Amino acid sequence: MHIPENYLSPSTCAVMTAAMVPVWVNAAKKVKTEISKEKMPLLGIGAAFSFIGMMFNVPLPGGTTGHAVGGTLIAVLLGPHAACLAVSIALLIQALLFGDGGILAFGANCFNMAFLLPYAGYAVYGLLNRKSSSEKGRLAAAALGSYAGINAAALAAAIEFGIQPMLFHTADGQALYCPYGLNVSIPAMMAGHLTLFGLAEVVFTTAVLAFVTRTSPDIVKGRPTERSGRPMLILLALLIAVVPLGLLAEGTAWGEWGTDEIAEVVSGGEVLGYTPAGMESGFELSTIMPDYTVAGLPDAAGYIVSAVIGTAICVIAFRLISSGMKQKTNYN
Amino acid sequence: MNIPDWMNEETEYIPQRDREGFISRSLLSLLGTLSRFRSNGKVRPGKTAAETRLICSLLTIVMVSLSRNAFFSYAVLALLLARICFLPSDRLPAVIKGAAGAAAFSVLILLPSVFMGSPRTMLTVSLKVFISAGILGLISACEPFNRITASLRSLGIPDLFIFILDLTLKYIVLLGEACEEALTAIKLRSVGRNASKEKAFSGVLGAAFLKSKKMEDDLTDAMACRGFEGEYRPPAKRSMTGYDICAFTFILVLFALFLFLERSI
Repeated sequence: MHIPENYLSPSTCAVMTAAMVPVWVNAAKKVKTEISKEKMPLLGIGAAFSFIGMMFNVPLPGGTTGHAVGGTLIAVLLGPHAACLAVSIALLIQALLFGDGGILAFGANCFNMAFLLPYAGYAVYGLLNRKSSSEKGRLAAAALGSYAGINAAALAAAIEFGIQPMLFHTADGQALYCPYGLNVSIPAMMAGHLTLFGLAEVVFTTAVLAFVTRTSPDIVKGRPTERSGRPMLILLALLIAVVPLGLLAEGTAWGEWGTDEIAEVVSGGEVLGYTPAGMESGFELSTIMPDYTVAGLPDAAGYIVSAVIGTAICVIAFRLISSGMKQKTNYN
Repeated sequence: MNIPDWMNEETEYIPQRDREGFISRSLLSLLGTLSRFRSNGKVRPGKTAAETRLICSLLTIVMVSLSRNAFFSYAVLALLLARICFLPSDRLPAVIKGAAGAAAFSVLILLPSVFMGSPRTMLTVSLKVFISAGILGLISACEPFNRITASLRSLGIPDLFIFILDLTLKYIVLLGEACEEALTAIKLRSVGRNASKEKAFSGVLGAAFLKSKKMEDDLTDAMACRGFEGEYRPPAKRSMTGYDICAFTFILVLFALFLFLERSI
């Protein structure tokens, strides 16, 4: 669901970034008051889980792939504001270091996956969880919440894609950025996310939530200790070890075609036939490991190394923030 | 008993504000340096011998510097970051700040290469600097300093260097503590506006110098009393533990990867 570079016009990107700025500011303020010094490293682990979840590509028959995001998982454990920041950091690392998702489109990607997904998912989870009090009820609520969240994000992404040819085209009708309108983008993105990719998100969220409830119940209760993060780190290490499975799914996700392949994309029986002008002459950031691989070496090696680097940066960043925070003394 | 008149007078002295921030700033930076030594003093030695750690780290740094394959640097970066993730919270910021500071400095120096058309140079060199500084930071975060200096002996470094290094580390802490006490005294006595603060402040360094001279005399006497001539006995031969063997195997694997990647260029 990452929107690549030059699929959205610069004005769309600017609008989405402007929309995200108050969300980020508000989330940062809330996190400063809600998340204590001991909980902050868990945010890093949450961001790492999100990063790793996005590396497992799930194939859909028809040639596209998608992935789980895990934003609702973090929202259930640490609150929606923390989830917003954690997913934003994961997306930032992916965009800057690995070229997954454009830099100019960073605001739009965050709007979809760091704002809509966790807040919508948490809202649904909160509504459903109020009615039940058992552990199974909480898992079910989280499952439905994550399903709702990822589909909300997919719908928003589809709308952002779909309005491009309407608003930004050349004089003879050729699109400058994303070439597919709402009538194509919405069914294409929702078909995958309502079925397999939504299922992937549900499975990811419930599995990790069940694991955390079983191994570190103090996190779920909201009183983590210094050692609470250990089982989650072990799970993270296991996930990193099997991350090359995410490479098995071949095929590019809908809306993530490269500039060289977009002209051949078939949609509704028709080949596109041209490369939108905005993509040919657009901005491209050269990253250290584009697409998580290194040229000349097996993809699996590059994938594992990227997974380790990405998750380690997430964990270290939040531990640094935690070390800079003051311990809140309860004077009562 | 009659209380004299001057005792009944109201004291109305409100000291004027003066620029005395320099005392606090110096004290803070001094305490920062001292705290690094003190936190290293709390480090318990790890299971691997300090010599093994030192040798493996130096070999890794040499391999990273010599490699022409970007993937090798990324792989070592991944391992370094994964190790840093597991450091305790009091040592992690120091390691990251040291490595990031060194890398930022290299970025600054190599910025002209971006304008000359090869930005890859800046990224590659800064990455290697980050890795090297990170590895060295890890050593100081995981081993107490006295073990590191002791391990230098087994690397074949001459006794004189180890002697100077040992004394330097000890006397940074001792003289630093003396300066800390002097600065705290000045801070407490700084009331109101007067010119003697600057004089007292420069006196701290002079006092430290005199104190170091006295400490040097004491040290010479102590060395003479104990018959120490600057010779460090080689440490008792330690047999290789399982941890040492693991460390050396790891370095061998890394070396094999290095050769494989160099040949494939």
